[in-house]
Amino acid sequence: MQEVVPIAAKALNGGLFVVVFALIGEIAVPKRFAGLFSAAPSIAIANLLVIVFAKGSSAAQLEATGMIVGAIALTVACAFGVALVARYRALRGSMLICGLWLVLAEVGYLAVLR
Amino acid sequence: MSEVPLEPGGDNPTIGFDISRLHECGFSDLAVRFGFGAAISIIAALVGLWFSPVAGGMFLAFPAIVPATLTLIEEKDDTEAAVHNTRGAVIGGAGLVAFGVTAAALFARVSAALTLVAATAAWAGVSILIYLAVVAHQQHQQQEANDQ
Repeated sequence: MQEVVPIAAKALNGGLFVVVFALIGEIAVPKRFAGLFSAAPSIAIANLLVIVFAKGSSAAQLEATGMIVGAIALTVACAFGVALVARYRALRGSMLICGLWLVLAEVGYLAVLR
Repeated sequence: MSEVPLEPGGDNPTIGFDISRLHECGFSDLAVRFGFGAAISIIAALVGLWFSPVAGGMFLAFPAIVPATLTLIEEKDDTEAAVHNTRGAVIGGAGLVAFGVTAAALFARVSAALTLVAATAAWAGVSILIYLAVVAHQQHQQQEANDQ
């Protein structure tokens, strides 16, 4: 029950940071440059801020370590995602990117972090 | 065909910002993105609680924003614009690796505020450097093709 407040703060913060980076991505041109903001550290900044406040820097360091594997998985998933979006359009293509990320991150977790 | 510039080169800027596009961004678009951001933050927090902080940290790089962004781009522009956006996300992902490495290295050494500023600067710096290198390489190839 004591975790409800930090989780709510993370959710609110995460939503706000995503909107801020989305607005920057919206006005950025050309589209390839705008795409950089689709992989902006919005969720990371939002959550790490709350973690530092609630649990301190050492807890944030652990989360940042895990994030390295997640970011590598994101890069690889998006690299395959270029062809997936071209072939299956945005909705199915992006769902496949998320699915591929889950597989890659799981493999990375078992291989490196566990 | 999309009316927004897809790639740099020609009359298109390498890096630019078109403030007038803000008018095209409706409240519902932003609400969808807020929802995705809030949802993945909750998932990351729960994974961190149920499994481990390291496992939860992986979800800080989950491509949660990608479905919302790409579907909205396809709706407003076209699938081709979404493909070009995804190409940019590959580069942004590499920048996100730099963010994680910087944050993991600095949290134990300097203040949390300085760590987050440095990590964000690392994301921006690495992303833009790779982007400029890719653009320069493509323009060099284009120039060679034109010369032949």
